Amino acid sequence: MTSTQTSPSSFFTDHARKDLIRRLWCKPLIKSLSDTLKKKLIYIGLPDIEALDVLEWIDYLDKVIAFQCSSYKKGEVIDVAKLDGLLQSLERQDKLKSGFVYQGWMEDIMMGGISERGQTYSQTDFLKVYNLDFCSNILVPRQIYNERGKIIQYITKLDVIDKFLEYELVASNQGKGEKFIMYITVNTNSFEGDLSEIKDSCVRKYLKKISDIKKPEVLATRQLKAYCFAMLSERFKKYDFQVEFLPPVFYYGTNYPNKETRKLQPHRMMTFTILGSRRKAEEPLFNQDCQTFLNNKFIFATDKVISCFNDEKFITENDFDPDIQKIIEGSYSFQKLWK
Amino acid sequence: MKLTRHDIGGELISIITKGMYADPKDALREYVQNGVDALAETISIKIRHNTISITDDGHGMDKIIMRKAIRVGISDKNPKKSVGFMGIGIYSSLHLCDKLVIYSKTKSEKPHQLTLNFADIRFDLENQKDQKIDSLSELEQQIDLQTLLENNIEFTELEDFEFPKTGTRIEMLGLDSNFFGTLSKYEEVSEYLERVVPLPFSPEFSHGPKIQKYILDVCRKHNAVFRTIDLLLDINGNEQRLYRPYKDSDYRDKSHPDDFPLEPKFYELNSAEGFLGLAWGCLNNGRRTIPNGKVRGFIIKKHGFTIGKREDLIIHYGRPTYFNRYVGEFIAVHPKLLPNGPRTDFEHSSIRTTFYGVLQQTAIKFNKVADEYQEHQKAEEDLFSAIEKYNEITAQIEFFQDNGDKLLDFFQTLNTISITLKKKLDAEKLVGGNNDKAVETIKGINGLLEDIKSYLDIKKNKKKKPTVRNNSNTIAKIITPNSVKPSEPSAENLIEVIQMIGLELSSDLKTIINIIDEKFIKSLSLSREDYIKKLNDLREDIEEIYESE
Repeated sequence: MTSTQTSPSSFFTDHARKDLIRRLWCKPLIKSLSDTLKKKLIYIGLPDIEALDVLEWIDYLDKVIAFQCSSYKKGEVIDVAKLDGLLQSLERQDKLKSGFVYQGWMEDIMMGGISERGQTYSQTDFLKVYNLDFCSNILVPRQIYNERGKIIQYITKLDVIDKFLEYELVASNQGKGEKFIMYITVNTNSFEGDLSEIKDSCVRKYLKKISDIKKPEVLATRQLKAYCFAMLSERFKKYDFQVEFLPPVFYYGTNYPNKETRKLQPHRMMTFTILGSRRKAEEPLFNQDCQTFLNNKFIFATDKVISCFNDEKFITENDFDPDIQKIIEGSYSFQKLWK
Repeated sequence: MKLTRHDIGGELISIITKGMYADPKDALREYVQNGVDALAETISIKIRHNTISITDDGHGMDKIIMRKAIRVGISDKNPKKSVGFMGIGIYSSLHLCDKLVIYSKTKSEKPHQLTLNFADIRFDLENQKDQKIDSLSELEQQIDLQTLLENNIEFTELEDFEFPKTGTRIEMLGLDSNFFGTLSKYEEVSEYLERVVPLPFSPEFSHGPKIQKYILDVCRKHNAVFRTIDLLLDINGNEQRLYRPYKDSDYRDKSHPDDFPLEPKFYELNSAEGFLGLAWGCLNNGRRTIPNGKVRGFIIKKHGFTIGKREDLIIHYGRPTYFNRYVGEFIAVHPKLLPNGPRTDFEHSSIRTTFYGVLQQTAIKFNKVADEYQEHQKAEEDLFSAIEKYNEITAQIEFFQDNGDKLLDFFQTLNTISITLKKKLDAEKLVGGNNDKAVETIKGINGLLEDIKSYLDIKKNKKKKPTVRNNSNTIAKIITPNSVKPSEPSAENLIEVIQMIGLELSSDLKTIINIIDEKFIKSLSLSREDYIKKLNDLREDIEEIYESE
């Protein structure tokens, strides 16, 4: 079975905004979970070969399970061994207990259970921080071909998240942990999903409200925010996890040539922060206030600061205190589920 | 005679390591062995795509020891305390990986790094071979061992942050893809390590703690070294703690789900040359070959590392029958018992001969234990079958009191049982409560034999039925309190059957019928119940004939 996908590698170029999010947004939350549970976490995700997020969060990590492609487009060769070597040096320096790379597309490994190197996927550990830095459109499916070149399956990033939740459920059933943080970074330049899939009336009401937005990219960002909130909430609940979304972070990625405007334009990136906790017997189901989540402004990361943000003058979005520490401490998960 | 560096060729290191380390997993054993010798408590092996790392928390190597580690065939290690002593183990992965990097730190010194460029060593040697084939190289131009190693080994001093913890980490980089297949199979690698590395007993082996205590006590008593290590094996993210391979479940299979290991037997291995070691073995309670072929039998261990294979020891047991009913180990601790290079045996020496002599004597003891156990078990089975037979006869005796042939048959059977049980008692084959049961049964049989004699005498003298002693019935009741009484028949003999049908019989016919009854119905019946049943069946058959007419 083979597969193809085009994914601009330029997304992965690091820049000051990403660094800021990693440092000022993600790290305090990871520290908070690690401190609360008095244990270091296991990182599962797409750290890129530089593994800058791993290096930034290293004090709170015990183990790293990384996914890394050897090539995102034809002719491109990514030095996966560099990531192998980096994780190994962290082990040697006693900064990590274990670092491990699955080579290949995350979709292929998660759904097929095996990496390009013939490694069987296993996930039996607990206390995790998922960093799913997809950087591409979450809804664009990856095509899986058979030997004769025929497409036999389409896999989306949502399917991969589904699979992770399945593993997480098994791990929590075995008493191997029940709390985790999931960061999902996606490109919101355009929205290609099917909004009719959304059943939640509150979300549908919001979609109606924003439908007057004229700028397609501005609309797409909000549609994706609403779509992911609805679809991911559903998936988490399906696997019996309490789910809470912290305000999404919006930032401008690297520039790309827009075919329509014929100008260089920054990618519109969004990072979701999701707190997952296994729902205990008799525990009431937490239904997050959809209105508050959707009608709040984005967290916005510039090169230097994190603030609240609204790039659309025609709709009203609410301000709030973007201090991550206050957001964590005010969250339902922190107050009711993690302590 | 003076030698020069050209007298020892570089090829030597390749030849030695190829011969000594045929299995790629042997390199893991060698490096784990270094950790054990460094008094590590925990060793972790991580096998990744094309990299293996082995990290221990032992005392580490300082600059001087690390320098010495590269020597070939020279070792400071004391065979009394250490497993490795040949000074070759560091090169065990020469043909396995491109580069071997060793990081080590002692408590008092900064860390150091030793890099052995195995790919370059192999390249230089291959290159030389090609030149020889093409007749391009002269003898003096051929690379000597010293130059070969000098050119391809680097020593680096590190800062504390680069390797901060005391201990040693060995990294095998650029693993040959031919070996990666084998080394990435968890089961294969873990099975190998469980077999060859000094590991603690599995929690799934119920006698493990007792055996471990015995080994430690005996070794302490003789001032001998015995240690185990915690070994963590992580292959491609799947991490598990390894144990010695024995489990209670090894003794069971689908056909014998209740089999289990009996209490361990222990022996010290002593000789005129001192304490050689000890042995333990757990026999299968089921008197059967242990189903798990990977662990059954005995194996030799030195410093916890396996010497040779299990099947090598069968010869000392004479035949495999009892050998395969045990799981056990011979733990050699004598400092002069030195394993050979490939760990297939000990080096030839007088102590080796002594060791195998003692091993053979101990094997005889293990065989004797198995034999005695078998005899006891057989005796127990014989006892229970005797009790069963005795109960059966007891239940039938009154019914057949007029049947001479049957009585003689009973007499003979009971007499044989009694003799067999007496023999078992005399030979002390029966133990504990079974001994008492046998005595009781013999007593009961003797009483029953007396009863049979009385019946036979009565029959002979045509005297009236004697009052039979209750002895046999009492014992029968003790042994089988729930013996079943025959149900009341509608006809007690053949004459009654005929009369119940409504036929009149003359006295002559009655005599004839009585003879037929005695000779053909009663004598063919196994018991009174059987006799009554036969009579009733006969009655029904006759009645059916009448009804059909």
